[in-house]
Amino acid sequence: MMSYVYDLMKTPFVLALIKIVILLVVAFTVIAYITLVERRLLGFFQSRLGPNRVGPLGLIQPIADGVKLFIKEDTVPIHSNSLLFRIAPIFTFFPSLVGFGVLTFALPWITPASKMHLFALADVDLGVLLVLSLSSLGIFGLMLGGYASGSKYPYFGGLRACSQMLSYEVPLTLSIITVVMMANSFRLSDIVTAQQTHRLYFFIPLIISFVIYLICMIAETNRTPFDLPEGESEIIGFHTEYSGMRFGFYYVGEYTNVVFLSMLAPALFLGGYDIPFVNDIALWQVYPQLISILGFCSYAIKSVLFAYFYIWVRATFPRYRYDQLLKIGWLVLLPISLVNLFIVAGIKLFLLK
Amino acid sequence: MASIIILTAILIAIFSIFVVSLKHPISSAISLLVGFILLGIFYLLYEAEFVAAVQVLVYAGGIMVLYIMGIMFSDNEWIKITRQTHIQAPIAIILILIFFAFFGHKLYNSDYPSLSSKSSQQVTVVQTVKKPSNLPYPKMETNPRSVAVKLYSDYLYPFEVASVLLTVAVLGGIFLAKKEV
Repeated sequence: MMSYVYDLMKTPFVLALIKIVILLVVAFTVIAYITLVERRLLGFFQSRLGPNRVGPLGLIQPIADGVKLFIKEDTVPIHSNSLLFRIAPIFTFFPSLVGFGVLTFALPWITPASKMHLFALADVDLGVLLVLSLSSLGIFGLMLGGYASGSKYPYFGGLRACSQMLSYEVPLTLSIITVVMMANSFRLSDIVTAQQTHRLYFFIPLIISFVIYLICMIAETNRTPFDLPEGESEIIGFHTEYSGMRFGFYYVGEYTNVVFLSMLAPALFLGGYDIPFVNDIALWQVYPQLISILGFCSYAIKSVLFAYFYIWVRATFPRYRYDQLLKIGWLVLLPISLVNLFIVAGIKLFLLK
Repeated sequence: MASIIILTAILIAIFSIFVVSLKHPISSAISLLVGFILLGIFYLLYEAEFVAAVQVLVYAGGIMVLYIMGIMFSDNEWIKITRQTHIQAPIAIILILIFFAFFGHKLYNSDYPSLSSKSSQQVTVVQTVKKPSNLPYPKMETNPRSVAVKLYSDYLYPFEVASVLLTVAVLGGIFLAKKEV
């Protein structure tokens, strides 16, 4: 019996299923706890305590929030387009979740018996392009949710969300394209390998792309200072009519995006699972398992830095006005990222042969 | 694999019919969106990963957003009261029959092994997945580098013509929008 199970474990299909389950469990745990971390950190920034009553240090708070959202009544307004109203939240939630599949988390794990890549689920050829095309589908949830509510205010919230995400997607894509040009590949593990072999993280030569990416990743996830689509306190957003777990889908979808973009950023600009100041590949040939695990930890720490950056920015900056937001997107970021693209292409063509 | 391809094709056909038959413009737009995503999957099944990714990125993520935004901005109350079609169904049916007859004739006489009856070696799609050298369709270069090389060498002229066409469309749009301001 046990040997049968062991044989089954080694088939690629079952192995992939196990990896998917582990990835989903870890991702959901991280997404649940980043909400708590955010509230505690916001409390710290504003000299107050934040949620600390449910369990030690408030550690059970995310579970309490989830239970609350699940048992709330799920209302559907009379004037809404009810089918669309029901499926719209799913559009925001799932595209960003699929993106986790193409990330590579560490160098391959080598056992004496075999070489298994335990830290990558589907390291596909066109990983970056896949990520971009999936993230472009996330807009529909916001737009359709606003439209289907059958009320003016969510309608305008949906339109605001749509034009904001459209205008910030272009500079985001252009800044990622410069990374692809430097690494000569769309595959995420190749991008990390290029940074390891050149022993130079891409945020140093591509500092302009890095800054553009940082701005656009905040705008893409609709968070302060670009949180006009929802506008938690003053403006009424696209999810006004939603309640219960359908609202929860939007909420979790936003944090899924936050976690995903903070995990993509290290791979593109900070060397991913590379351990700083160490020649990884040479050491990996001697101690493969140790370097694999240390690389995973290094990746996790870099991702946490980006997630912290999100919360830090949210606590620091006031919200932009809507015309300012569109002006920054189209008149500042787009020209800069286009010129940057040409400069990087020129450097790549004529200087780095 | 062959069954998945056929299933995807049938789904694309169904959603394309939805696009023209559903009453509400937003429902049509969403059917079109699903159709575009399914078309991306269709390309993926034929190992054209680059085209599939670009299909989803440009058509589903870019153009459909603009369509839905346009529908949301425009006042579409009149659609409910106006009759949308003239009496064109008989002519359309005849034209469609002619089109399918022509299409079927061409397919029947083609060299595609899995589709035409003339081929001597009946290669099924399932076999060819295991042996990529024996594909029933022309082998496409999926590497982005080879796509780029083809695009900028063999297909440079159509590429430039398309870019000029798009520029003309952009200029026309700006001209039309400026007039009202």
